[in-house]
Amino acid sequence: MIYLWFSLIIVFIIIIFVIVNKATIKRNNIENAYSSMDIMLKKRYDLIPNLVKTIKAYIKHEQETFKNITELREKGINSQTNEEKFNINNMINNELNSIFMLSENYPELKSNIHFIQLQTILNDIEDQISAARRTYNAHVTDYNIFIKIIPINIITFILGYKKYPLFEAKEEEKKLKNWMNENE
Amino acid sequence: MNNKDLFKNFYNDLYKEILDEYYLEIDNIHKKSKKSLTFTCVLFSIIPTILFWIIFFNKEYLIAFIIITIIYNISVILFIKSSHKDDRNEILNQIKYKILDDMITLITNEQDSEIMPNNRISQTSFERTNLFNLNNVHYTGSNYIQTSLDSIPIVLGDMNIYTYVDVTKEEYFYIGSRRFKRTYKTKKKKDIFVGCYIGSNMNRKNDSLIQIVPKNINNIINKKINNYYNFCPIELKLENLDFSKRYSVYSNDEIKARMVLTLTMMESINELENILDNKKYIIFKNDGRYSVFIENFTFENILNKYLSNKRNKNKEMDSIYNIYSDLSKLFEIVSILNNSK
Repeated sequence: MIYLWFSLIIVFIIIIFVIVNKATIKRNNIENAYSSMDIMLKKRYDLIPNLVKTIKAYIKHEQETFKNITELREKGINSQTNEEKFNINNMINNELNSIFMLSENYPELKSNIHFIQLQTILNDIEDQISAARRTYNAHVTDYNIFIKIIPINIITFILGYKKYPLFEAKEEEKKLKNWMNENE
Repeated sequence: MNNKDLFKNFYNDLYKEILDEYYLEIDNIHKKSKKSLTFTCVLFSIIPTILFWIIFFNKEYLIAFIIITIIYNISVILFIKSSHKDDRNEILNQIKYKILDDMITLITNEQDSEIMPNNRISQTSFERTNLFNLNNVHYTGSNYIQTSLDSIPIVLGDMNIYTYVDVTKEEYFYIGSRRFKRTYKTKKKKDIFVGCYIGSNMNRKNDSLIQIVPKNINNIINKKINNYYNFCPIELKLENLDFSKRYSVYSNDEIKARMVLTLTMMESINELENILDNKKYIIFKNDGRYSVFIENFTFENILNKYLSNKRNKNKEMDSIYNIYSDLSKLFEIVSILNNSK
């Protein structure tokens, strides 16, 4: 009888190891996807000052918008949690969207080579962010489903595994992407 | 221009003239054939027969003489006829490729298309796809076509990819009254893929290798031989359910692969099923090119099906429309993949 109990305990420990390993692999995938996305977001943060400087030379009376986007950039760089970063990113998309909408009224700005170059780079970065966001979301969905499966959820609850937030594309990002594609 | 009537209305009169020119060549061969048949019969049948009878005639062997003469004359006529048939087939074959060239020109609007019936895609191009285990597979090909669509170069061709598998055979033999069994190993050729190949360039940059493989592969060898994990270690889980049901996707860089496989691109690849439901292997290469392998769809089959050597000139336009329609499907696939973002 004691052997039976002993084998059951061993089997139980092996199951826990397998679950923990799987959850760790899935969490690592999320971390990797997140860090790739973070790199792309940083690339975009680096581009914002140049963009603001170029546009400022043509549009002088929209100081409020430029101030907002510069502040959001600062906040984005210093943000600690994923959720905070995602929210700020959506707000930046909103501001970028309004800046590009403004540029529609300034044909000289639209034909400026530096502006066109920045737009091309930004478009490329937006593509990368979009792909990285989809990768992150795919891994998060996979992980979130895994930790909620019965009876895995009992073990993951005891070990303190928590759900990761999804990075959903807001309407602003889609609008910005469409604008970029139209003006490519 | 997928409507048959439209095709006929627009191209019937115009293309009829071209076809008439092609068939004039066959008629000339017919006329030549009749003349040369009469001439050769006189030269090789009648004259030798008369000479033979004059020199060797013997009343005792009359029946033998008659039989030999008949057999000889029939053989000569059959030989001459068959050689003329070969000439005719050769001309028909040339016309077949001229029609293929015309149809490709019509679809692509590209005058400088090149068709090389005996060539295949280069070993380097094939190896670049990294689709099959290249150490174990061999390939043959034909009908290599170089053309372009909207200024983007395209290569197409038939392809047969095969491997050799070990087969154990049993053989029984007798020594005296006793039966013995001997087993031995031999190699047998097994096809992995028979179909057509399309290669073209994407309209954007791509640094990753992506292999899109149909999920319902029945061929066991194909499953075994495909070594996606060697070149593309990551299996992607994608958002489009229809796409994920149809294909398994492998890549060497997940994020870069997703930059190519956008939601629109996945929809476009799903759309390809409506054009041609044959199994498709799609490979996006890291140099910005892509290849599509379409199973059980070959130029050879299309041409033999609609333009066989026993064909009716009056029904030619129907056959040509069918060729045009099948080829259009291939170019539609290219167009969808080229324009999808």
